Amino acid sequence: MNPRILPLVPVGAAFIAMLAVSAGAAPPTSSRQTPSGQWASPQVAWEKTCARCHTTGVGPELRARALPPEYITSVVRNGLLAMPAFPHTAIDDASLEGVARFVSTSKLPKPAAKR
Amino acid sequence: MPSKKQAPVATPATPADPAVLPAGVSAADMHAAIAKFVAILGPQNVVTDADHIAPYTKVMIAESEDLHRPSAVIYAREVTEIQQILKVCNEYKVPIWTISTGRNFGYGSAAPQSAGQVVLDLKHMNRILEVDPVLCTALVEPGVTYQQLKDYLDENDIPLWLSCPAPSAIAGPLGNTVDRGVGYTPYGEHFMMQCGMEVVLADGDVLRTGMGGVEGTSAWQVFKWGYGPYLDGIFTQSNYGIVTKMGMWLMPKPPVYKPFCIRYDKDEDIHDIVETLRPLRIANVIPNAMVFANVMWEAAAIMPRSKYYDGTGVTPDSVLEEIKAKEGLGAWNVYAALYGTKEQVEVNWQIITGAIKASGKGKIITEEEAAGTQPFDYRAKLMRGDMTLQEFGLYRWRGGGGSMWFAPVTAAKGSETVEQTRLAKEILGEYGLDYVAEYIVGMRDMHHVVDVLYDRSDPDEMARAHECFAKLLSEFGKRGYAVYRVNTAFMDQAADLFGPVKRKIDQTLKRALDPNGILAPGKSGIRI
Repeated sequence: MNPRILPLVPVGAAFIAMLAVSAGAAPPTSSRQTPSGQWASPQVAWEKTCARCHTTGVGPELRARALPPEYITSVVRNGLLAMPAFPHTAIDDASLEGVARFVSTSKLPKPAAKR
Repeated sequence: MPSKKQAPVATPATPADPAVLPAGVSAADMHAAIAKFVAILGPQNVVTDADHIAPYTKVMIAESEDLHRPSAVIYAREVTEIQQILKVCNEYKVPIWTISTGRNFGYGSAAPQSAGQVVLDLKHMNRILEVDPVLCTALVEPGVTYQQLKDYLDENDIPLWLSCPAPSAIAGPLGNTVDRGVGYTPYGEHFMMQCGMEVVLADGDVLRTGMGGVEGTSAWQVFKWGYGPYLDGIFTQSNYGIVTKMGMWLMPKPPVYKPFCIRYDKDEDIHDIVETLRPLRIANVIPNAMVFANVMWEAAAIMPRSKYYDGTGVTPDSVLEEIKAKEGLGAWNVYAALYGTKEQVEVNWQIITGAIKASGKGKIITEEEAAGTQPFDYRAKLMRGDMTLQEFGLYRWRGGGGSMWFAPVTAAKGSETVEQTRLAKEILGEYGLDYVAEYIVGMRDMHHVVDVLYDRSDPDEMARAHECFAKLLSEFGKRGYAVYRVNTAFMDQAADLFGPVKRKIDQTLKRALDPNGILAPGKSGIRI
């Protein structure tokens, strides 16, 4: 069996009028989180996952609290009450240590200036 | 692209013998199986130590973690590795519990149905194998997350939309679809929009469903049915194979997207909501999987209960009335959306506003009127398949990290929603638990989704939640209602509701396809 698994090549494709599709070739895989568990940077991991709860009021605010990195990594690996646990396949040790340092040394953003 | 050249995680070269064993497997056999897993995958991909196992034991269901603690976790990256793993499992009768992203919170998370099963974590298989912007299809591996797919579409300027469950940012399409999860867009019935699978069977055979077995086919992701018996269904909510690739249909981004809310003041309005909106859903005037969320669901998404109530037990009605008044929430809150050209949306908007006006109930709130406030904002994101975790706010409503989804199927009739709502509220109230609920509207059915929230750090409350959930299943069952999906603690009880013949057929298939019962025993109540 020869599986048809092709890279994405939308070149010259015809689209229905309501769609405005770019016609450029694209790479076959996403670069955001590959290999699994590794992240482009601590900030990307923070923004794509942690911040969705911890800057929206869903989870507790973590920034500007100088939380010990070891505490952060422990909670991420084990979970805590409503906080889910994240295995090494979701974030590897090196990436997690980076996130823990990033959060531990973070500051709250300055409020937007009033006009 | 995943590679075997990944930096090794800090694990011993030879994993220690597991702290727990699968039922019926000797320590010697487990030791031998682990050694063979190591030979196949390398020591960094076979873990038994507490640090690596811990994330897989974190559950929200009302049972001890010990009942769901895996013996080991193994990471595979290739189909050929899975084939070799299965050979070892058959040799030693070692059961494996496969997960894709393992984010099935409230349904069992990443933990196996019974203690000692080896978790096969496929998160490393995270290749987006194909996106076809002409036919609007994708082919993905188990570890691909919605976030990853969304990023890919954005980075490559491909105007296709996803349909995601509420925890969109960290869950993945393959796992959600094969567990028959739902989303909120016109493609919200995810299994309906699935097309073609690759499945590794217990004997190592690799099946491609639908058109996938045809040499050189171009139709694997476009024609669901193939030829002869349609098989994809038996690989959903089952333990008959390991799905390693899945095709899916994606929705073209519409020129106009118009999300809206309709707020209703009274609990009993649920009857008229269903009667007013069902015809519009069936006629596809409202094309998406709209929701009817009750006041506590709405409130939980934006604040803890303690903001208005510091007591224990059921949140009093007087408090809910105060929340409705001060937070501007309805007893029921409908979220729906229109998609299409300006002309299409305008026509359907007139039909909808006319129907609401004629019903004499409901206040329509547009996106402009909501002005970026919650919960409208996150609902609008979900209905266009965007990333959010806002609904995890449910878990902070009472706190304590306990959650189990009770999700009976409802016929889309007002009388049935009144009966189900009354019954659920009554049973939850007996146990001091809140009725935090929404109806997710299908084609003619609705998923009546109740988040049974409880304090998991309180043993008494956890025991009550367990008892409550069992009673919800049994009392609903007596009235002909059964769930579309259930957590790992109640799979057998749920399976019983579908009758002995169904259970017998499930078992017959299991014995035929997996005679040693190595694949996820207990999933959906199915064992050899």
